[in-house]
Amino acid sequence: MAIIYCGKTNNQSYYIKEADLHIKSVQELAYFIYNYAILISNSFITKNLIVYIDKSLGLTKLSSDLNEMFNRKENLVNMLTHILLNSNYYDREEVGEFRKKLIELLSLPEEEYVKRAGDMLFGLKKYEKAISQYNKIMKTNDKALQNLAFCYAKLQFYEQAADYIGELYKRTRNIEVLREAYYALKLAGNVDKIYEYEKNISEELLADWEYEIVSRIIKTRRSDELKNIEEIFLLGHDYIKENISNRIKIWKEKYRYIG
Amino acid sequence: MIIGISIDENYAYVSTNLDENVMQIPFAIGKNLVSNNWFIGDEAKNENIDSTDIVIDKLYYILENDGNARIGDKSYEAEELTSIFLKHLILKFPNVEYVTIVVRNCNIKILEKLHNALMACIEDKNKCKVTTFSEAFISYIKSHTSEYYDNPIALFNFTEKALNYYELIRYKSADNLEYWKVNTKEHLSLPLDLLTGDTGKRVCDNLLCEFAKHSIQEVAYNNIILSGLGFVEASSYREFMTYVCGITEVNTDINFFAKAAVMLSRDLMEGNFSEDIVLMTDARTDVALRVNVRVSATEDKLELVKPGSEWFDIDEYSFNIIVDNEKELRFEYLKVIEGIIKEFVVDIPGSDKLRDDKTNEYEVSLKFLQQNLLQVTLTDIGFGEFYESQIKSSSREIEL
Repeated sequence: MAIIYCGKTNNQSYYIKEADLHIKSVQELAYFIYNYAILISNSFITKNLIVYIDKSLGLTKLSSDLNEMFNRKENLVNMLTHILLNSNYYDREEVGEFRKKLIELLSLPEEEYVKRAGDMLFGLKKYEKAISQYNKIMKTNDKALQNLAFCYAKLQFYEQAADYIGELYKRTRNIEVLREAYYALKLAGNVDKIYEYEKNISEELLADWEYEIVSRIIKTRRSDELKNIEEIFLLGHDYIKENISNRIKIWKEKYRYIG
Repeated sequence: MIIGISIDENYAYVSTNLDENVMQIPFAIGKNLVSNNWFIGDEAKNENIDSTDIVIDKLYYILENDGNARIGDKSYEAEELTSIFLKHLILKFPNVEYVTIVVRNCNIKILEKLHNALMACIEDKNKCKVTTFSEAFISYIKSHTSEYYDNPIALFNFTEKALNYYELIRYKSADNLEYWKVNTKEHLSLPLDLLTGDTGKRVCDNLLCEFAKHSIQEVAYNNIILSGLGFVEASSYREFMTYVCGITEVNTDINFFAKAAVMLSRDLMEGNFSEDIVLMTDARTDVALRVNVRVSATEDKLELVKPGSEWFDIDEYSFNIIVDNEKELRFEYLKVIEGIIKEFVVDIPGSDKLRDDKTNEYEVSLKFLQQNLLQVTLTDIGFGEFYESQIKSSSREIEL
C-alpha cells in the first residue's frame, strides 16, 4: 500500500447536489463515486464537473477524456470507472470490484434502491435529502417510515417525528414503537398527543416511561459534565487551573442555594 | 528605474541603473514630536537636531534583535520603522520598477522583516526582493562575463565592523548543468574605529594579509574584488595589497554590493536566470529532496526541492497525502556537491480507526529554519466533508 500524493490544498470546491456536499480533490470525488454510487444520477457528469476537473484540479487529460465521452454520450458506468482509474486513489482491482457492485446496485428493486439511498444520506447527516428519499417509499416500507421519523428527530422536529412513529405504531402495534413516540412527544412538549396514537394506554405504563426519561436525562447530564472535565484536562495545566476553579465556584454557588 | 540597496549595520547604500554614483545613507530614522514629521539618513544623524526630535540610529540592531523603539508615547516595531525609512528613501526616486535589498547574513528574521517592510512600500512581490550579498555577487559577475573567465573570483568585503571573504566558483557537472557556487565561510571581526593611527593601520594590514592568505587557497584566481568602507584607503594596507596583487588582477569598488544589487534587480525583473545554471549561495539549498509517495501509477517519488532553490521561500513546500496503515513518511536527499544520497523518515500521526480505508489525509509542510536545517510537519486534515480532522500532528527537524 503506497502513500498517495494529493497535491496542494485546493481552495476551490465542487458542489455535489445529489448529496449536498462539496469536494475539493479528485480523491474525494473518487471516494464519493466509489462509496456513494447509489446517490449518483444520470446527470452526475456535467460540463461543470469536467471544467472543475480541468481548471481547479489541473487534471487536463482526465477532463479531456471525459469531455469526449460526454459528447459521444458514453454510459455513466464507463465514465465513473474512468474517473476512478485516473484518480491516483483506487487500483484496477478495486475499480473492478466497484463495477461489479454498481451492476448489483442497478439490478436492485426500486424500493430497496431508494431505501439504501436514503440510508446513505442519513449516514452523511443529510437529513433533508434522506427525507425526500424515504418519503417516496414510506407508505409501503416500515423501515423507511421509522428512518423518516429519525430524520425529523435529528432535525429537532420532534412532533413530526412522533407523528411518523405513531403511524408506524398503527401499522405494527408494537408497544416499544409507541414508547419511542412518547419520548418524541416529550421532547416536543406535547405528551397528551400520545392518545391520538393509542387510546387505551395505562397510567402505570406512562409512569414507567416518565421514570425512564428522567433516568436518561440524568445519565446524559452526568456524561456531559464528565466529558467537559475530560476536555479541560486535555487542554493543559493553565486551562485546568482557570476552568476547574470556575467550576468549583459554580458548584459552591449551587450548594449554597441548596442549603 | 531599477534600485539596488545594500544594508549593513550603519548604512544603506543605494544605487540605480541610471546613475553610477552610490548614495550612502545612515540607516537611522527620526521623528519630530511637534510636527510629527519623519526624517531619515543624514537628517537623523545631523547634530543640529531639535530637542523635540527623537532619533533611532541603531535601526539594524533593533531589526536583528526583535526590538522596538519608543518615540513619544508610541512604541514602534523595528519592521514598522524600517518600512517608514524605506518609504522615505524610495520616494526620492521616480518611476520605480524594481527594488532589491541585499544584506550580508542570511538571517531569516532580518530577511523576513526587511521583506515585510519593503512590501509595505512596494505592495507587489513581483517588484521587490530581499536577499543576500552572495546573490548580488553572482548577478554582478553574470552581467560582466566577458571580463571574468572560468577561474574562481574572490571578494573581500571590509565594513566598519568586520572583514568577510566570498569566493565564486563555477563548474560544469556530468549532466551538463553549470553550477555557480558562492562560499561565504570566512569572517573576521575587525572594528575600524579601534585600528586608527599608524600602529592601528599596521596591525590592520597584518590581520588583512593573514586573513587573505588563509582564505585564498586556490592556485589560479580570475580576479579579486575589494569592497566596503574599510578599503577607502586600500593603498595604505601595503602588505595586504602586495599579496593580493601578486595573485591576480585586483579591482576595488567600495560600493560593490549596492551596484551588484542593481544587477540582481534587473535579473529578477527580466527573469534572466537560465535553468541550466544552478546557483548555490547561503540563500539557497544545495540538496535535491524527494519524498516516497505515489504520484501516479508509474511514479512513486516526488521531487520537492531542487538544488539551488531559495530555502527561505517557505510557502513553496506544502502538499497533502493520504495514508492507510503506514507508520512513517520516507524522504531521501542528494547532497549535490558531495554526491551522497541519504534518507530520513517522519512519523505519521496515528490513523483514525473509525474512518474508511484511505481517508486519513495529512498536510505535509516543509520549512527551512536555516540553510540546511529542515522542519517537516504532518498534520491530520480530515477527509473533506466526509471526516473531520482529529487535530493530530507530528514534527521533526532534520539537518541535511
